[in-house]
This record gives sequence, structure tokens and C-alpha cells, in this order.
Amino acid sequence: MGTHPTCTKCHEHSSVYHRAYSGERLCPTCFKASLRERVQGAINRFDMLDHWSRVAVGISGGKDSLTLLHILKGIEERTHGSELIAVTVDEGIKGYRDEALGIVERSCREMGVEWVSVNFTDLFGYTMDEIAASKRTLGACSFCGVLRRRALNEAAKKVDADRLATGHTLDDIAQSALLNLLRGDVGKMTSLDPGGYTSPGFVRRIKPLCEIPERETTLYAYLQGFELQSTACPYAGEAMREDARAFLGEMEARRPGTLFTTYNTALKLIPEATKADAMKTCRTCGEPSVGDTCRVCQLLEDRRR
Amino acid sequence: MLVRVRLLGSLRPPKVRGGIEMELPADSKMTSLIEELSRLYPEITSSLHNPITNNLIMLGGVEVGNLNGLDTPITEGSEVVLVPVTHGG
Repeated sequence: MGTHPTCTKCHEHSSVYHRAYSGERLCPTCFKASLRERVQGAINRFDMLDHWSRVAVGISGGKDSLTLLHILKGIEERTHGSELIAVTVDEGIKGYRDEALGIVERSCREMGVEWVSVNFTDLFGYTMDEIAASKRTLGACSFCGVLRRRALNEAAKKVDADRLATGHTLDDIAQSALLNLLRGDVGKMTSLDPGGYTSPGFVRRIKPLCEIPERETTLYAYLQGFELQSTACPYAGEAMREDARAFLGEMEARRPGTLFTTYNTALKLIPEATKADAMKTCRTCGEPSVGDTCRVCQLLEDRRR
Repeated sequence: MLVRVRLLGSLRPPKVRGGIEMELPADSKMTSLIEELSRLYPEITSSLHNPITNNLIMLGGVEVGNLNGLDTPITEGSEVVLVPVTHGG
């Protein structure tokens, strides 16, 4: 069966995973412990939480967000004493979201975490399926991404949270950084700040999995026996992100460490001055906005035409 | 030789319930198993493209990146689990 060396951390148990970018070979126990330590490290370094923070954790039902909730639950029980509330956005994607909602409900019950969901119809008047079926100039993922961000903020406000933790992984951040560069939109690097920032009307977003590759959230989810969603989002293939994902995935396989290098470059490009100061108030809905009218109102207006 | 395979998450074809038992020639390697899966289940072929990048391939509980990758030999009675990485964040 080839080589099957001992764990390079505990030097006791057989390894099951080779971390190519660091050279480590880890047993299940040391692997899971290393993820928890890295998440804790990111929380501390980016000053993500205060003692007694009330954290809304965005849960989609996918492996990343379930891993996030599980790790945060463990960390917070031992240290900060923060309160976690799982929040889910139901976009109204038949089949895909229905299955995910079941997984979220069962997972939150098992982990003993309170769960709240909000939906697109109540917030915006349309389901994602209705938006996708309509005549539009933008891809479905562009609509969905903007509306989901708003919906998560609304959900976090609804539960009186002072933080909104999302399951963005190292891969997500590296992909977004590459997309921002490809689109010539370096100003958007601000939103990649793992520690987020505080702005009126905007619950501070934190990304505790910012230094965990998606491959490793997958392994964590597998080792923990999390239920994995079987239905793929019917609109996923439309996004330019898929191209960035494929490119970075191939680069990481050929040159391990590419994802971390891209991520670290993105952190250096976050323009400090454009954080909270750049936010205005949308003249249509009154929510935080970069321009005079927020992206949500622009998209919904476009949908009505 | 007989090998047991489990396809998890979005890799699991709708008609498949539980595990699959596959008959492979003796001395097969992981790459042969992936090719055979692609042949048997064309609906997951795209997910099996770049199999190691896009999936965790566990052989007897060990990820094949910790063994010899797609050249890892498979033995009679092995259990292989495939977990998709690039879906369902």
C-alpha cells in the first residue's frame, strides 16, 4: 500500500493525511487539533472576538460552515464564553436548499446550538429560482451573492449578534483575491479582511476559517462524520469563480503553498483607509452602501424592469 | 478482486444507495478504480476529473496523498471512500 508513516506531531499514531504545503503527516487526532489551533490563532491575530461576543454563525449546510460551527463551539466553550447562534439563508432554490435546511436543523440540534433562518421571499420579494428564471444581464451567482450577504446581515441583526462568522476558507479568500485582480477591482480587497470591521448598520463579519484550506475542512467534516449535502447548486457553474477555483486548485497541486501565498498577498493589498470610512447609507433602503444606492437595491430595481 | 467503494456528498449518483462493490483486476492501482467509476457512472465523470485535487480519496481510512497518490496499489477487500472537496461549502 506504499508508505504509511507515523504522525509527525505525536510520533505515536499512524498518519492519514499528508499536508503537502508544510510537509506534515498527521493522524486524525493531531489533524483535528491542528485545525482548531489554527482557527484559534486566526481569531486571536485578527482580534475577531471579544469576551462574551454574541456570534451569528452563517450555516449553509455545507462542510465548511458545519466545520466552522463545530470548531467555534469547541473553542468558545473552553475560552471566550461567547454565545453562538446559527443563522441560515433560504434563497429558495428548490431541491438544493431544501436538503441543506434538513442537514442544518439536524446538525444544530446535535451540537446544541440555537438556529434561526431567514428567506429571500420575506426579505426581497422573490425566490432565487424566480430571479434565475427571469431575464437578466448578470449571472445568477452575482445576484445570489449580493442578496445572501444582505440576508446574512439581516439575520445577524435579528438575533442581536455583534459578530457574523462565515465559513469562508483559505480557498475562498484566495479565489476572491484573484477575481478582484482579474476584474481590476483592488478596492474590493477590503471585504477579504478576515477580521472584518465595524460600521453602522453592518454586523462585523469575521472569517475564522481564513487559514484553513477547503481540502482540510472536507477532511475534518469526513472525520467528524458530518452529513454531506448530495445536491449541487443548480446555478454554481455560471460563476467565473469556478475558473479561479480550477486554476488555483491546479497551482496548489503543482506548487503547494500557492493558496497561502495568494492569501498573504491579498492581506497586504487591503487598503486600510477604505474600511469603515468608505461606507455610506443607501438612499433607497437605508442600509450600509459603498455608493449612493446599494447593490441590493440596484439588482432588485433591475429585476423589476 | 472485490473492492468496496463509498461515494459521499454530491459524488453519490442518485440511483446508488450505500456502498458499491466493484470487481477490479488483481494488482490494480487507484487510477484504474477512478477510471472504472467514471465508466460506470458517467454523471460524476466531471467531478472525477483531476481526482486528487477535486476529491479526498480515502483508502482504508488513509488519504491517498499520504500514500502514493493515484499510483497507490489496491488490494482485495480494500475500502475506498471518495469525498468531494469542490462542492458544498
